[in-house]
Amino acid sequence: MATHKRVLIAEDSSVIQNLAKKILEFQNFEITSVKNGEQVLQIIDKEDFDIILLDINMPLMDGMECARRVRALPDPEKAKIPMIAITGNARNYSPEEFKAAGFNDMLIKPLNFDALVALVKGLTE
Amino acid sequence: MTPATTPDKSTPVPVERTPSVGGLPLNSASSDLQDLIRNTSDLIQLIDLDGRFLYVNRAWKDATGYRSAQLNAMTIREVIHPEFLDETMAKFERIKNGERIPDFDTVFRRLDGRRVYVSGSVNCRFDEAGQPVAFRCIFHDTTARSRAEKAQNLFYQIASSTLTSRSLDDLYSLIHRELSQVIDTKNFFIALYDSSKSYLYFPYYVDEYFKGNLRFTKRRLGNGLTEFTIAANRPLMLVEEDIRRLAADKQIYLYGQIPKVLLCAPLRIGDRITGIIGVKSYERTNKYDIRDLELLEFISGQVAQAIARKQAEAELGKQTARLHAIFESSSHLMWTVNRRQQLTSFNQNYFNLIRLNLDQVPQVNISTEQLGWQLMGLTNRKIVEEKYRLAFRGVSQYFEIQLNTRSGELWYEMYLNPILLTDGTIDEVAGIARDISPLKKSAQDLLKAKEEAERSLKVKERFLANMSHEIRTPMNGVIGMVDLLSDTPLQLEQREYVQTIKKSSETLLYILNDILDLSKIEAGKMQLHEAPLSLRELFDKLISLFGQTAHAKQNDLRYRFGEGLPQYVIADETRLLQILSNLTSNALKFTENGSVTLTANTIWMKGKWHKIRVEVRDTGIGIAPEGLTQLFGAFNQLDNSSKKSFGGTGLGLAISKELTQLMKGEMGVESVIGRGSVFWFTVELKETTISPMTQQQIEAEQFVVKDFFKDVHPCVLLVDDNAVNRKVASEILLKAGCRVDTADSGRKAIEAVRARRAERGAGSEKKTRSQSSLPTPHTYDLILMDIQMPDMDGVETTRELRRLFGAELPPVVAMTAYSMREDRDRFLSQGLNDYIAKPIRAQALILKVKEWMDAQPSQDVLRQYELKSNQPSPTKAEPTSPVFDREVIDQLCGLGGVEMVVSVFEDFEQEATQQLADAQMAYLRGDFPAVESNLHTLKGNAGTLGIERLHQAVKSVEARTKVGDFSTFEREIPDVVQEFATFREQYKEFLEGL
Repeated sequence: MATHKRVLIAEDSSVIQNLAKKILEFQNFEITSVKNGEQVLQIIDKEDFDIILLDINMPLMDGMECARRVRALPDPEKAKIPMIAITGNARNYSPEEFKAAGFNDMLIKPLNFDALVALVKGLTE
Repeated sequence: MTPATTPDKSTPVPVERTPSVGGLPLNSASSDLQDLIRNTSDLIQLIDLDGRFLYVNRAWKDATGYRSAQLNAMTIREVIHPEFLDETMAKFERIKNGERIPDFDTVFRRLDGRRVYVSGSVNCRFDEAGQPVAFRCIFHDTTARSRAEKAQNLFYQIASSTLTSRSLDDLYSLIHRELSQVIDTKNFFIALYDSSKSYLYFPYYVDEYFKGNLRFTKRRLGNGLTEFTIAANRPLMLVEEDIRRLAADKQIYLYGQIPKVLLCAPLRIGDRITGIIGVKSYERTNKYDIRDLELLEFISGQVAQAIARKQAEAELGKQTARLHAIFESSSHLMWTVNRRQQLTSFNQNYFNLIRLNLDQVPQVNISTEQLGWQLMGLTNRKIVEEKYRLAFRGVSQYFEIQLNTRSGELWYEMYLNPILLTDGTIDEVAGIARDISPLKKSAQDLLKAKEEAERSLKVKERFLANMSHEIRTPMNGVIGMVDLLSDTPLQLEQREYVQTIKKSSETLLYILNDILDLSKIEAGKMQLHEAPLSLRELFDKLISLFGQTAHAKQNDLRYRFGEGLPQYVIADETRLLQILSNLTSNALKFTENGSVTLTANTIWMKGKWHKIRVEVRDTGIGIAPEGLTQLFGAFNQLDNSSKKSFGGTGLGLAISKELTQLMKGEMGVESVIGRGSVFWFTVELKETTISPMTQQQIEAEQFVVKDFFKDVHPCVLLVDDNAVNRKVASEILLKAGCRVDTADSGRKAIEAVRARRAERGAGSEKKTRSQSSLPTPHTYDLILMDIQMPDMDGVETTRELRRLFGAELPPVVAMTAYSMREDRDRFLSQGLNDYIAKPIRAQALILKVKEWMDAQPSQDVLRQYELKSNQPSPTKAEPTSPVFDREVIDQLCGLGGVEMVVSVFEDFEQEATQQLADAQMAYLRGDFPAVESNLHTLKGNAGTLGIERLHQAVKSVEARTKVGDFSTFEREIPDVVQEFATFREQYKEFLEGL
């Protein structure tokens, strides 16, 4: 791989953040992590990513809101970055609702990292 | 009549100083005059009408070699060279008749036979009566001049001979003819070297003693006279005496007649000697003199040049003929074009193409635009124009082009090659073309055939996939029912029958799986599902699988590991075992009273990666060499399948080979008939320190369907259009303790959910038991949804259900015979919560129900908590699950290594401590969303990291807090704290043990 694909992870819990970071780095991805939805919007304004992993349950701006904002960005390239929702589904969102918010796919906690890796690879190829 | 015809013998012979007959005033002449006549270099003679000599001076005698005594008996007729006699006598006759001849030329023959060319004045003396009495002749010797003239003429003739002679033979005879004008050439030869120089041949040879003449066959250089003269490398004149001496000195070997004299001169071009020319005389030694030799040398250069030119010309002619033959006989069209696009030459094939298609006859100097270009469309003309342009710049062109001929559109392959002249310029371009339409057509046919083959392969793949699907559905019925049947009280005999059915259906599944595997591999959809495994356990498993078979055929079956083989590797156990089983069962099949030995060795290591080579060596019947190549093809052993004892379809080797390739290895075989075979394969596997779990399998074997759900009875809606499937699944579920409703279509399913909700919503029974703070209850605990149904399929039904019931809808689990694991993701993305593959196995189905019951606490589960909470001394729930979920942790290790897991666990310990504290603090503050948020994250993280018991404990609390029920929080949170403490105590040790 000439250049590594860049993954942005927004996750409240540093445990999951680190774990995802390490596992994806192991798969030759370049990882940037942030803690909430607002930071997501700030960083993608300045940098380009190939995919965003968004935890739904985050303070300040949750994943659903963040996803909608990303999809509404003026830059058409950035607005179509693939996004995966990571959720313990505390609020019982239906798959349709995730789709409507702009997610390409979703992963339910407890996370299966095999599935995570496969999904990330699938969406960045 | 000539005066010489009547010689009078009585006439006294005139001698010097004798007074002349005609009263020449010799006597009266002064001595000075006499001296003048005697000593002049002119030849002076006085002869009578009969030719008798009256007087000759000294110069005359010197020039002819005759002495006075001889002359007395001779006439002029004997002195004149016979060749010139008649002509000369005629001239005397004309002078006698009073005519004047200003330049009287004639040729004398010397005493030694050589010629003397003379020229001068002759007049006649008349007596008083006017009668002629004598001839006064004053000649000068013109031999040298004449020779020079002749030599010059000869030189010129030979120089121009290349033009006047048609062939080399012509040239040689011309040289001979011209030379004979100057010197005696009764014996004349030309000898040439062969280019290799070790051969000598005589293209021209005229000899009085060799009547076979002309064209000596070539001979190897020897030590003959000719070779000697060549070796001398200079003009030579050899007389008989010299030749004999050379022979006596052994310098030469003599063959044939020895000439009296031999003249020869080397033929030279520059410094190179190409041969020799020579003349010989067998008559007399003095036939030639040194001037003849000079002459020969003088012309030799010209002769050499002429021969060389003629040879080159002949060679060129040959070459031209050769090229012409190629030009005309070729099946290609050939032509040349000059810079003005005019045709400069063309062959018959070109001619034919133009004439047949344009009714024109191509001619030199006609523009090609009127010819070949007429056969092209405008675009092609532009292309060809450009190609010509490039060719004229010196770049050879090759291209394919379509010509519109009367026999249709034909493809031609065309070459345009610049014709480079020696000075490097290009005046013309040569074109070569040939009809490649048949070639094109066959290439197209081939492509079509390939596409056809690929298409039918796809059809086959689809057919296989469909068929296996079709077979799986009834298999579902068989296997499911057998599972249930074996769970009922059975007599021994019945149990055996059931076992047989079970075994047979499993075999059938193996075959089905083989076919599916192959179609998956061929479609590039085969994926390996890797997990840590113990190589030793794998091989032990293999041995135990085949031990029975081996024993039955008196075979010794064992395995041996080489040094350095890793204990644990990350691999797809099922697939690896599939390969090993296949090779082992084959080996056993063809071996009796022998041995089958498996060996595994590490070939190389790169970090954690091992290239492992496994050999399966048998002492069986072996395989013939011609069989070896076909061995790995699909379907090759189908006809043997009846003899196989384990999962045999004949696809085994083909699949195994493909699987090794997926594992970055290869497979091969070596075999000797009668001695046995060695099947080997290599795979690249990553070493790991994680030991795999075998616990699950043990549990699986002890799995009991009956009354699995003792305390809780999940309510399940089973949706399937197939009656058998409904029967099987519902029987299993009922037996396990579930309550089951069934629906045979999507619409019925919707009705069932609606009815259930109405009943529950209105029903007082449940309501009264539930606490008021409980959310709207789920209609069912779980819906099992068949995907393939007529009218409204499972996906559509689920979508509709979600639309109608939203959050009230329980988890929907797809049931499908689609066996590709990849399909799972598709269903999940289409709104289904989970997936279970058909044929439905009792254990899998029940565990799936349990999984979802655990994840989504149902009304009944909640009720149970209530009951528990009502118990007087609440105790901690029985810790049924292990502290850590080994499978999850192994997976994480596989993905990132143990070190990563350790560090992540440390992170978790820190974060979870905070989260637990925060949750409790928030609870005290009454900040319930914060409680929920912390618990939610903790639950997810614990589950993700495989901290199983903590996960369960948090989940139990969070299931309520999530829906706003904090009534049991205080009572349950100590469980969570307790489990967290257990985790902190154990995790380091646990991870070290990996």
